[in-house]
Amino acid sequence: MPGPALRINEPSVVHETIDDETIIIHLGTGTYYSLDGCGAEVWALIEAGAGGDQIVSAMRQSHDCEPALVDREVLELLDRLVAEGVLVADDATRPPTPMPEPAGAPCGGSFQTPTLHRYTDMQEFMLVDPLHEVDHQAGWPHAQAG
Amino acid sequence: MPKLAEGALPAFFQQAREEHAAAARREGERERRLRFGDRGVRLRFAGPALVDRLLPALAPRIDARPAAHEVTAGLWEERASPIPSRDVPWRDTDVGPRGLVRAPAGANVMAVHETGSGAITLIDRRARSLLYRVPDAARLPWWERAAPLRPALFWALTGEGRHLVHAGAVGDGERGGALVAGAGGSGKTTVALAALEAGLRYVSDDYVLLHSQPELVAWNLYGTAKLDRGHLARFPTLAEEARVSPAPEADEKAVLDVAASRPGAVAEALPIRAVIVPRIEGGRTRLDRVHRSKALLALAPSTAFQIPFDDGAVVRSLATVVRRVPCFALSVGDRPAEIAQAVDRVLEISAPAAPASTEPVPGRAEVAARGR
Repeated sequence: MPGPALRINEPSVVHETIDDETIIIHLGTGTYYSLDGCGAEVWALIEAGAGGDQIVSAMRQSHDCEPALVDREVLELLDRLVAEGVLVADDATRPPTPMPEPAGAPCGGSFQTPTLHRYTDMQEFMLVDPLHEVDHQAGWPHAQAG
Repeated sequence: MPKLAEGALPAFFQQAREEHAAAARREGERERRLRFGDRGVRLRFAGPALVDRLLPALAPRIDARPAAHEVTAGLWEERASPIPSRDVPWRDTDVGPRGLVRAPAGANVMAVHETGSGAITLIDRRARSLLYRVPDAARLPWWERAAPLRPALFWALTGEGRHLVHAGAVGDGERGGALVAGAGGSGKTTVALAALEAGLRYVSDDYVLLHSQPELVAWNLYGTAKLDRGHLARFPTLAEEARVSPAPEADEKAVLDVAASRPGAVAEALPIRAVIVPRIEGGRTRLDRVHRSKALLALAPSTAFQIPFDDGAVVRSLATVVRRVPCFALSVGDRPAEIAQAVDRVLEISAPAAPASTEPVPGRAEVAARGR
């Protein structure tokens, strides 16, 4: 991921960072995620409008770690977030942006692998009423055939 | 995929309103009011059938006094209207997550088509008017009777600093309450029932209206609790009071009418002092502090995925909740008394050290008085 601008896929994706962990909820897919390690720091850079290159560069500078490892881990995370539909390419034409300051506190001098935990146990809510299971015979909703 | 035509939902709303009016003329209109603090819903039922099916679960909230902010809802069953019910103008593919019909951008009328029950909730945002139609009140599934009108209440009661939240709440008037957070099966009902049995006040085992400004307050919505077979075995006294269907539907739970079985046990509202994240594990009950992020993970997704109109605003509110109060992980063991003791311990730890402050908080005195 060389450096295309990325943006959070809002409003389908909602998120909050708390205690250096980011909770991400994709309302469109029913999947939710928690992002730990240095992931919250990466997320803050994404929120601030940084492109892939800028994020990698910022993470290299703020951590005392083998640069190749930072590159690999951060780019893998960004790729995964894009694959999950959490991030999308930002096609808007904007003037070059200065290196954003991350909104969150850095996770310390050591680099901790940003880990994205993926949860799918609530995808049923996308298909059925909260309190019961779908009737696979009748299907739903009972609308006119289209 | 062709979009739902502009004007289709407003036209359907108008037709539905005529159906409701015709049903009310034929069956007779029955009016009831629900009150949740300064918010209220005026229910205009066409005939008695839906009154009997929907209102028992909402009995604690019935109040003849109009609220300061009130929404009106017309409710009827298709079979009661002399006007044949119109087919819905949307197709299966127009129905999105949580039953919300995909309307043109900026549409004033919204629709929620619920699965299974066939219930349709129509919302005219400008007129603050609701319509709720079901095919046949007698065939309303158990879950709709136990926790009725969820989309209507979600829309009518939520707003700035007020959200419907998928969580239980228990406590008392002196120390306040705890939100009990987690997805289905995590132990919310077990914790709420253990607390109820131990004499604590009950706000809910699954849905509350949460005010987050200026004070955190959980308001009761339903006076019911839903018991599965495990709950019936674990709480034999409450099981005797629960209504078990003689011919249960698939996955049907027994419904305990808490307000009727334990008069005075249902608290209209409690100030929230803590968040409890339960997990059913068996053995001995254990209580630990938990990171706020884990509490948010328990609260936010299961709430956000169930609310049709929210677009995630509730997640920001819930983040403020876990930042403001201590959060606990409760490993739910086998003995209800131990579970209740753990809840009691949470309330002891989390209650304000000083008596309630004198800061001018709207509704606070009312909450405290009703919570006792």
